[in-house]
Amino acid sequence: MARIALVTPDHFKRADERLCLEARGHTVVANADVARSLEGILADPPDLLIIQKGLHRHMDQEVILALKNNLQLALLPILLMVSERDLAVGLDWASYPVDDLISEQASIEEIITRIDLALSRARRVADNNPLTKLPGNSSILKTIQSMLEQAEPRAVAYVDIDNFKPYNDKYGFSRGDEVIRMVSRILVNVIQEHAGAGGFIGHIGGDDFVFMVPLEKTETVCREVLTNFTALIPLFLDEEDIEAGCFVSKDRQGNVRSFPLTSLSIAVVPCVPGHYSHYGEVASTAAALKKKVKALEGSNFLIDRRRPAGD
Amino acid sequence: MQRIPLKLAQPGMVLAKEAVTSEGQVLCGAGTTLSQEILARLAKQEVLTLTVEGHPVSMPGEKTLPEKLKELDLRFSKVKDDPVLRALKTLIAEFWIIQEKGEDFLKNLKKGKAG
Amino acid sequence: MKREEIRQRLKEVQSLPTLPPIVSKLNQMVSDEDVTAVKLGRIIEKDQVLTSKLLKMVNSSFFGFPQRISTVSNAIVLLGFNVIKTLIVTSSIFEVMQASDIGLFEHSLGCATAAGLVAKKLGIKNPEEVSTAGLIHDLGKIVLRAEMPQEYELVVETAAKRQQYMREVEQEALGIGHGEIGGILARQWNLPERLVYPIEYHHRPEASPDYADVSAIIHFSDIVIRALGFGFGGDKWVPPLDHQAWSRIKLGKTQMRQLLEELDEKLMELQDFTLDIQQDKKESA
Repeated sequence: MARIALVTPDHFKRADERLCLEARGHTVVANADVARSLEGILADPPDLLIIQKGLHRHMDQEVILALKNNLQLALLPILLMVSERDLAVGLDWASYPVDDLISEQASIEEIITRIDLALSRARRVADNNPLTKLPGNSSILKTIQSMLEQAEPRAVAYVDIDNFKPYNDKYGFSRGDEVIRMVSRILVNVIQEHAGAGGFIGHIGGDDFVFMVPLEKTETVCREVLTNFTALIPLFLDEEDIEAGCFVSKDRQGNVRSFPLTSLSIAVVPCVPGHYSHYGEVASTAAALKKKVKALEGSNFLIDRRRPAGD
Repeated sequence: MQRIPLKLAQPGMVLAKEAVTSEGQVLCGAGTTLSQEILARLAKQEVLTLTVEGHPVSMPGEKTLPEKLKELDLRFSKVKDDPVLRALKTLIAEFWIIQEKGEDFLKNLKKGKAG
Repeated sequence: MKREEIRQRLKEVQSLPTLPPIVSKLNQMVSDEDVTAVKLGRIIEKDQVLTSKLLKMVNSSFFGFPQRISTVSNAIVLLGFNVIKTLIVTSSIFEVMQASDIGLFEHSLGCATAAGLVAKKLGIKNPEEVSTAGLIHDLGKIVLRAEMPQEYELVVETAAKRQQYMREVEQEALGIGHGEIGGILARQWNLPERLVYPIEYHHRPEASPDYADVSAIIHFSDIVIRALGFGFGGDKWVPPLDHQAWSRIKLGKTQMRQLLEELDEKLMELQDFTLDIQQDKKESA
């Protein structure tokens, strides 16, 4: 069942409406103080948000845009509660990128039905990774394929964490999950800042990620991702390992040996229109390049130069 | 020399220390006489403070040295018996005296006390 | 008010008021297209409430780094520009903080600066983290003032009248000191122990179950900043020094002189900053 956040200071005050939602197994999160409830939404996002239009200081718009621009939360269903007047005048949907609307006059039955529909639609669409909430393989395939058919030059980059398996064996899965989450946050933030809506990030699975940015941003993004990773990774390692510069764990054959400290590798395939017609070709070029970059010591990125741009 | 917010700087004042941006970039050196143009450029580069020759601006709430030393005494009144804190108090007092009157003044002051 | 009652009240504390001029400055910056998360960070790390909010968020279950992130710069890399922007926008709702509060703000900022400098002198690995601990060491006082304003005022007044330390009056009147209050909140917010202990034990650093070196530095920085009379920490007296904690720091005369000099330079910059934001406030009023 879902966690539903209400930021509707003028509505849902009656206990029976909340009760109806709770009776259906949903958890209702609401706070009379608008600013506090919005803070709560960011700190601990719900499964669905109902927000009233026209909050003080355009807070409604600010929050909707912030959530929809957040690559990890873009799929969180948002229902906008509007007045009869809004319905008559019409709304500017570009500044309210919500998933559905509810009229203030709607009956509780209608509200509950709309909530159920929004939740089931979200479940249908999402193949998001449960750990990072990033889009999964079928979304990756679709997005990259459609990008290949467009005119702008892009770069597709494959990211993975070096020696992740021995890290997991030594530090345990929950710390391993934290490292994966850390990498996903870095990717989301750096790509969002430099590429905005022109960027895409997917989580292939385990410690493998893929991202896509406009070609000219590639080097800046890769450098910044690696800088941020290098700054944060010591927080996830034990002091004595940092001092030793390596850690001891088991390799794939089960032999105990020493591994270099966890680092990040990025293999970049520039995609100029006409070079690749299918995602599979991009992936196989990347696979070869990935071997090369992983063979290098520490955190690195390599850009495929075998076919110069525009040839 | 005196450190002042850029907002209070006037043409004609002379820099005692180089003007530096918050990123650490040096914009003009010590000895530069400020002009309207230079001030405008510094404001554009987001320089917040300047150190200038002399003591050209009287800042609100600025205290005299004797006032400062008296208040220092008062703040330490509950920990008079602690030798480490007593030493700290002396160091702070000396630091302020040197800042205002110079190294020699303090030396003479100490000699006077000894003699 | 009873100790248990206060502990219960703390469970409901969601957020704290911050300084409106800082928030309005940040709000201006946010609407500037060229602003980066790093630039916002430089302002945020000057405000103890925004800093603790940022740390609360990044150590929360959604972001998924429980008790791991202790500095503003790391929090910013993980939270990203959009989240920080929203944090600033929502913070601007809390208004009305009196001008007198600037004293506690300056005290915290001064303590952060001193702590960072001492940590560097002692060769501590992460001086930024020690500086953060200094910035939020009086979290307990901010909570008291925001959630129990009458009690807070009474404590400050009584301390002035009886010429007592604030924490002595707190113990007597509330049965709990601001160190413990801050510690409870910091733990509730999942902040790393490297921050929780220095907050909780800055008046008795040797009781710190771990990170006693950081607790000792915060203890000493609090003393130095009060000695210099920078800001206002609730009462005006230099607190007693824990000599066991001092033995972990033990700066010689030359090092102390150096510290005072470096501190003087930085404190002047801070004063410029606080003057600057106060001026902005007047202009916008």
